[in-house]
Amino acid sequence: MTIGEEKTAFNARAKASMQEYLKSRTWPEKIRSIERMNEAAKIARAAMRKAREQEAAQAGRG
Amino acid sequence: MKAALEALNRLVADHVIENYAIGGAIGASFYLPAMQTEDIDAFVFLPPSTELFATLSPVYEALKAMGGEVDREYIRFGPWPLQILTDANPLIAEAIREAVDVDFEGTGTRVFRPEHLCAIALQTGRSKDYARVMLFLEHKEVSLEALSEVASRHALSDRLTKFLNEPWGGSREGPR
Repeated sequence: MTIGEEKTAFNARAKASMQEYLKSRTWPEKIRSIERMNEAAKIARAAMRKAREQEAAQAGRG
Repeated sequence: MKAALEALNRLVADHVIENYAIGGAIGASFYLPAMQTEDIDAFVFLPPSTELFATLSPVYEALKAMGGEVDREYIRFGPWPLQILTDANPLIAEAIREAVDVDFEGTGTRVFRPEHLCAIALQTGRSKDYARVMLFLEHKEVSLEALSEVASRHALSDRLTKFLNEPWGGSREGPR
């Protein structure tokens, strides 16, 4: 098996194992993980908005 | 999410709606790994009305009285915007009727069956809907026989066949 094939096989095993883990969660656990994803997305959106505002302010001064 | 489900159950108990079931990504996440979504889709049967057009106003008013906050077309309970949708076509009506009773942290609720979630996704036909059907098939969480029967009852057999033969229909928008 080449290194490339080994990496592909490893990735496939890791993905299958992660999917199995995610699927094994109960519905409320899955809902809580969606809530965390949404919270993370909200923080990321706010950070990007702030960065854009700062860039615009700097461009205005420059 | 528990607060939203409790509110929906109270709507049924108070006869504001006849029944409801959860669909969309939240419904799908009952069967599949968690998937990104920002709202809860609740499909409802409204009580028989003498009005020509059924209105959702009594539902929104009742949800507001239970502490829900109006947020565009949603009623928000904590972090969850709840979207109320009606039985807009025979497929959705069947999905509400045949939904399964499940438990969410001690609160009873109803979720669409996998074959209905998939058939509605095929009917809606956006890329993300086709992706969801693929996930159901990949995870063997839907019986192809049951899905084919639902598709056949609701004139979706051609769409299902196209999807199974070429899931992306040669384009990003999926089979048409």
